[in-house]
Amino acid sequence: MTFPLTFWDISLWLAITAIILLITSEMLSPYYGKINTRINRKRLRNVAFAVSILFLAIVAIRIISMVLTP
Amino acid sequence: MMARRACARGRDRMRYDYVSYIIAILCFMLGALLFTGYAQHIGLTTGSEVTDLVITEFSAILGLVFVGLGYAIRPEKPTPAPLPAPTPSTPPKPTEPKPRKESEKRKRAQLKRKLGLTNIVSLTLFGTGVAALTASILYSSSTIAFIGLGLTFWGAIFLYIRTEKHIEEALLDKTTFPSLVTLNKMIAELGFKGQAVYLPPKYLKDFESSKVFIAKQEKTKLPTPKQIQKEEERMFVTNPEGILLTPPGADLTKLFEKTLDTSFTKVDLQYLERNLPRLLVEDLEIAENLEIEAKKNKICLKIENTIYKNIHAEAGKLPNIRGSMGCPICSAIACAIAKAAGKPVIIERDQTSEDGQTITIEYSLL
Repeated sequence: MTFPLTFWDISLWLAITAIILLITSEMLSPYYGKINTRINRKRLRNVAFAVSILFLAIVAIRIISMVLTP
Repeated sequence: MMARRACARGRDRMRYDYVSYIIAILCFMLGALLFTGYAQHIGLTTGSEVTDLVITEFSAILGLVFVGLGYAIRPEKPTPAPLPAPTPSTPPKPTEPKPRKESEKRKRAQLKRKLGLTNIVSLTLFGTGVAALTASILYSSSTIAFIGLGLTFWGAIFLYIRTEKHIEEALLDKTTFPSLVTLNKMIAELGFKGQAVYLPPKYLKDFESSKVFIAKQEKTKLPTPKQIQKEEERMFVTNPEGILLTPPGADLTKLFEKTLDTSFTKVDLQYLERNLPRLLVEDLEIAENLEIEAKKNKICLKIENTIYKNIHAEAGKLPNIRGSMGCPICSAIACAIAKAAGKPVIIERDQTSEDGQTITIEYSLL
């Protein structure tokens, strides 16, 4: 029994999730007048950054693996 | 007659809990049919065993969710209207309290608070996601794995980004305004006519606190720090004659300091210029926009669409508050400026735009 998703499938999922979260956190920003939305914007922004950083880390791993393989 | 009317009103209200129960029954029926199809007892199937099983699982979980939802949103039993009291020939007997029913009501109310709708949705998503991930491992299906990963992640996100508490803006206005009215009346009746001066830390023994001095007569010379420190514990100052008050925005200033993780006594005006907009707009979310400009001994502030706009408008009708001590937000910023600049501060000008959305305040350093 193995997990059916590969490392690259997860990186694709992370990319899409990061884009959705970054756009959502920006659209819900108080600078657009959304001061009455009942969510913790700081946490949403932190999660968006965390997922984006994870995705960028995976991209970096891919680049390094491509560079190192002959 | 009154009892019949109350019951009729109860019947007229839509029973959403019944709707939830009906949806739950339909989900269970769908799950049961697909499971029997999967088990090949009947010919109903989607063509794929895995899909049959997954839909059965989702239907079962959804059914349970709707049952829980229906139970959570069921209306309380209407209490029948009391019968009219008979004409007393003898005094009525006092009714004894029923502690059991009251404790049951309290328990139900506590459970409702814990199982809020957001929590139910988040936990359902999370649970469904974990179940889907498990199924994906068992059946080696990447589609179900993607679905499970998404559901798990979003369920966890919805739990994590909930706000702690939500307070209605109207509550803020109603809670704050009476104190301002009392303050206004007190100053008027005691006959203190001077401009309110926000004192910097050097005037106070406890330099983290905030005080405002209002002289008895207009154009009274500002007292020296020593004079204030001698009588700091008292409300009425004798030399010069005046009153020493805690301003309405004092605690709000402390909240600003706590949020910025600093003390305004340790920073300067440039720090306030840089950080106040972010503090009020992003961190505390009490205004849509804030512009601050410091020029020589004047600081101009423009606040747009603040949650304090109503209280500011109401405080504007109080002559000893508007343009003197200011509404809570104006007062809080005055305290911050006094601490940062280290000089006494007065509110020189306080204007509101016609639509009430923009507040313009001008502070002067003495």
